[in-house]
Amino acid sequence: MEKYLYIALFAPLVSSLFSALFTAQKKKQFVGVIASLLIFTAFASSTVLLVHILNGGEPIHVTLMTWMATGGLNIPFGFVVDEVSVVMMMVVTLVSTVVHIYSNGYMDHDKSFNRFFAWLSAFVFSMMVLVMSDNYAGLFIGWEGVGLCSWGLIGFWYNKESATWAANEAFIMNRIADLGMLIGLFLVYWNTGTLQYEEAFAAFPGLDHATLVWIGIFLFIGAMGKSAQFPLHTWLADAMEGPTPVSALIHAATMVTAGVYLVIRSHPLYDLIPNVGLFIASLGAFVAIFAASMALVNRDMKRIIAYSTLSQLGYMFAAAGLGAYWVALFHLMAHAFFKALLFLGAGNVMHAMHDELDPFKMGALKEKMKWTWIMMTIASFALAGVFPLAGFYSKDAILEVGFVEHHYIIYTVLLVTAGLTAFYSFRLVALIFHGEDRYTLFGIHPHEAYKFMLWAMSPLLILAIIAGAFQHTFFELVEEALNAVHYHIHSHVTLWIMIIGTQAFVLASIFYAYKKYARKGIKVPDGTSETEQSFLYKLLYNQYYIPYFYDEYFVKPYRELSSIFWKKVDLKVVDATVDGIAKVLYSTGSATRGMQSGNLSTMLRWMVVGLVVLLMIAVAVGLAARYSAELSQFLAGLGV
Amino acid sequence: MLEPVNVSLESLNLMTLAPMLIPIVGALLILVVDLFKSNIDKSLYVMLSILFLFTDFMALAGSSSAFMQNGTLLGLFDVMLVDGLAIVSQFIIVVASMLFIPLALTSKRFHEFSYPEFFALFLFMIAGFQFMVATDNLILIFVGLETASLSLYTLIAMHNREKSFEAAVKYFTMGALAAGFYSFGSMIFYAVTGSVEINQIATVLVANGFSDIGFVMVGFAFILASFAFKLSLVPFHTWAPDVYEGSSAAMAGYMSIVPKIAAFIVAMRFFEFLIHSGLVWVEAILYVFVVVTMTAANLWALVQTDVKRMLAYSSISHAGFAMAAVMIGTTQANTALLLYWVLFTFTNLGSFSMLWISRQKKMLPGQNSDHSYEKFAGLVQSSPMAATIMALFMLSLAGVPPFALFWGKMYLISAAVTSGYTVLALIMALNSAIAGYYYLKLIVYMFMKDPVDSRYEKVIGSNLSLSLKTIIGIAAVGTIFAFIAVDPLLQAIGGFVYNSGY
Amino acid sequence: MEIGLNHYLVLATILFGIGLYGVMRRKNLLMLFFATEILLNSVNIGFAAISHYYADLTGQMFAFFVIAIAASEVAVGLGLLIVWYKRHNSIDLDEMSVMRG
Repeated sequence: MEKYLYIALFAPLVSSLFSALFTAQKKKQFVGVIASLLIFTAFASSTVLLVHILNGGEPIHVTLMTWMATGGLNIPFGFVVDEVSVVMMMVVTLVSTVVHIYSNGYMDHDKSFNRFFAWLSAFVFSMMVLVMSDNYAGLFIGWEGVGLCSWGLIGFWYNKESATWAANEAFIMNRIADLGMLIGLFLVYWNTGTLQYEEAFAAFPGLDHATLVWIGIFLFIGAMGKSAQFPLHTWLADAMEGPTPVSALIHAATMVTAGVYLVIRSHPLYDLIPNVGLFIASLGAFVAIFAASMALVNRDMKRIIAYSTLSQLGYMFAAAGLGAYWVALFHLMAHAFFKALLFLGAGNVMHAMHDELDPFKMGALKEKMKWTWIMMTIASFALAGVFPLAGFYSKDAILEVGFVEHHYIIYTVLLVTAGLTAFYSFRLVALIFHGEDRYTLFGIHPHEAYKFMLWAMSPLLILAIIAGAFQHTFFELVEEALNAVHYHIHSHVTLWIMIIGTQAFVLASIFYAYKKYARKGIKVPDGTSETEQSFLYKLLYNQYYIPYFYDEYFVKPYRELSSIFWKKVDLKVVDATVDGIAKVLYSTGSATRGMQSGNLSTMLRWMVVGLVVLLMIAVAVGLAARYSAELSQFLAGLGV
Repeated sequence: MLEPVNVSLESLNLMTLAPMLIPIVGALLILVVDLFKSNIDKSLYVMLSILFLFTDFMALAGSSSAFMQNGTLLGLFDVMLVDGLAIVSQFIIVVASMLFIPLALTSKRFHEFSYPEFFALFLFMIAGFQFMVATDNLILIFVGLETASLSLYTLIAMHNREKSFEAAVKYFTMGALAAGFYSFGSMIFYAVTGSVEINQIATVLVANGFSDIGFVMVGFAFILASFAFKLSLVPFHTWAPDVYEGSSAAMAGYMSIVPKIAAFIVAMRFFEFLIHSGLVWVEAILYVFVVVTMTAANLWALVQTDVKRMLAYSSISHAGFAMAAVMIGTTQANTALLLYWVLFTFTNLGSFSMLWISRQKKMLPGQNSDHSYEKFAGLVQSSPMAATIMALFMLSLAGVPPFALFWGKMYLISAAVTSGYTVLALIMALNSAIAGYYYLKLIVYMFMKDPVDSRYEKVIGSNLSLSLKTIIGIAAVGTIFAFIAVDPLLQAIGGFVYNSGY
Repeated sequence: MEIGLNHYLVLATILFGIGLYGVMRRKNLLMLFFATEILLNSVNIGFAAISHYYADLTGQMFAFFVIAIAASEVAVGLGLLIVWYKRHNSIDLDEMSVMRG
């Protein structure tokens, strides 16, 4: 079995290195094909491993090598395939395989075709390291790796100003969060003496509560950055500057869920500190509704989907924070399928519309793009949580968790969000595919995507439909690893009321969205209508003014502060202090000599200053040693 | 009437001298070759130098196997001391030299490389450094130090530019002052103990229980001042940025590695017995030096506008970082220092070579410094390969895993933690974080800014030749795949260090 | 009064001090070199005296090496100085600060 582990882990690396050989050359179709094949190999190996685990096989544990094992430091570099990681491996390799194949078509005309595959496969490799590592150090390496690849892929079209800006924003925000994570890891190592999951988890119950809280908080800060939780969320929407397959793979299905994975992985820690868990859940619920509200009015197709990702991540954190780790993981998996599908569908639309992103300029595309329409509609149904699609099972489970655990506020918030989700999803579908054609005005002639792209998407379509049926298998799989329990609502009546009520609410939202946006006569908003003038609309449209706020209150002052520090503090104060010290020591010269650096005399003087200071200490020590008897007598006399 | 000296040749153990004699013979041979036949292509001298360095390497391998069998060797009236430290550091010196000397084969012609004297001096310098590390006699250390330094001053001046002369004069004058400090310090130790061998000095001092602590401290102050100069610890560092800027990038890279490892070895030999004897003041002083050097140099590096100057300050900071190991003084720390320096060699070799390939013969009108950040702005657009490789070295310098220096930093910091220097470890970690910013600054310039001046596009890489490509390739491979080598290296170095009692 | 070891050592220290002062204050490159020579030669006096005191030749050996090194230092130093003078017609230290910061 270990063989399959190695294949799953290293096939993406081989793929990346292979593609990297051709980065400087013109597009080579075989690069994309071979990369896709290698990723598929990884997927196949993961499937073998999944079957192995499903059949009750022991988790596979390998130690690849020991990086350092001398003195007090021991970092073995090992990988583990257990119930949790195998689920993640399946999600990652499946979605990546689809995205790789899809990209062969999507990036067809891009001159950096080969480079794209190099980055994309490198990302898959980093992600595999992240999920398969058996210790926090390896996780962190993968964590940084996916950050780097995400940076390279968001800024893939680096000659576009906005793309490089977004790439940097994502990278920097993640760096800020990573600092928190690093402190968390440091604390773990400090207190337990190890970074291995098993050993660290075994040691956690012995630590005092405050320490655990700090560890939990700092690790979660790392998770917040990667999973774009408030207030570090702005990068995700801007990251949509990258190519759409990237958005599907990285910013919907895999990388952004790494934060959730971290919390799930560290569940023995969060079990010990339910307060932090509650905070995570509350923040998750807040982000869920917060992001959904921004998606309501946005007019950028990809951004809307990005906000919905954000909102769904909020759901996952809500579940994980309440201790329902398996529910979170299940939603993570289901979400990966339908959200990737949605993004790839959006990619088709974008291709057809020549990179137009405003759904108000589309309309009636269902005739031209039938399959895309079907796929995106089903994905949206799944996202909205309509029975019997994947989203229904996973999302409903989260709502039940909130209800059963008596966190009614979280429950209500998530319920309202479910309605909002349904509304904005179908607002998008309605605007793109229904109503009357508004694109001819802009001189666009849409066409359906390549056949093989649609075929590539079909596994996701199937899974978006049927993934819910695996709920029970999934539960049994992770039951032991995650201490999973069923969340049963005791009274059947309540349960039915809840399910039916939720479904009715969701369907009503969908219906309302259709009615409002699928009708004829929708105009491209020009900022004059009454709704657009309203305060709420503006607030939501401008994303609660948070990016503006960051720019105004963090970026600008920071820039100004830096320049002040440089001009005032560095040039005047620091230099002045240095000169001042030198002057005090060398007042032998009557005239003020040039004390600036660059002057040999000054440099020589600095050396002598150093020597003199050392000598003074030496003399002081010598005198103190010689007169130690007298000194102690003297001090005793003073009453010390 | 004096007794005739009667020494058996065997007791001299002349083999201990072989590694130093080889480069000296090589240097003389180069001069002789030039005497008979001038106007030989410069690459011949490069090849000769590499050949002799390789022979030197083999000789070292010989003495290392002798060391593994018989332990520490003494030779030449017990002046030579070939222990594990000497062998590992000589390996670093020789290998680093072999990697740097091909940088002379640029596609542009720089006239210093057409002189055979350049290569002769280069080899003399290496011999000097080898003498420095393979002895515990203060006289021989002094001789080795000065042989190396005087050659180095000349090599810098041979670059034959306005700034090179300024750099050489500055370095020379300060070096002379440091030599004064060193000899005065030696004199004090000689006066206190009656010996100039570090072992003997230690024995005498420990035997009389440091009764002359005042004088010992004064002597320590002088010796420390002189080595702080060599190691560029603040405030004895002032030469470093100017000298780096003034000399060619290849030379600057060399200076950031080889002279320092030699000085570190001497510092280990000299300071550690003081620390191990429980002189808290010695430890405290070194502590302050380490912290100030790391921090201050980092802060100065932040405000630089020239990449080479930035790298100069960064080298100072790295030296402070490594000096921490000398202060901690455990076997683990010393091993960590040597490992750090091996990894640092590859990374700095790479980053300075990258500067070297972009070196112009004449500055363009309006250009103030050779390697300003602006020169690298938007490099990714004109040559993505160069930008990526440069970024790789910057990331390694910043200590980003899994690149080379990360392992060095990691191991050094963990050595600090195991020895109970928790605060120091924290300061080191913080400094690595600060350092990340100025390395990232270059990456930002290369990847995210637009080219400032289209003229630079032609300049970058104009100095590139096959041998430079090879060297950069070696450095890049060493930097990326360090993680494979870290563990075996640690074992090997650890064995050498442990068996020589450090 | 008998002249003992201490007198020599004090002399050496005073000369060293003079050398240091010279190094700090001199603006003329040539004078600076003189000052460093004084530094090194003060050490020689010290070594010779201590060597005599211990009746041990090591100190004198050190002194010889210091003399040799001082001589080669002067050779290199003067070489640099001459090149500098040829280019700038001056050996004033204050004119030597192109690089700074």
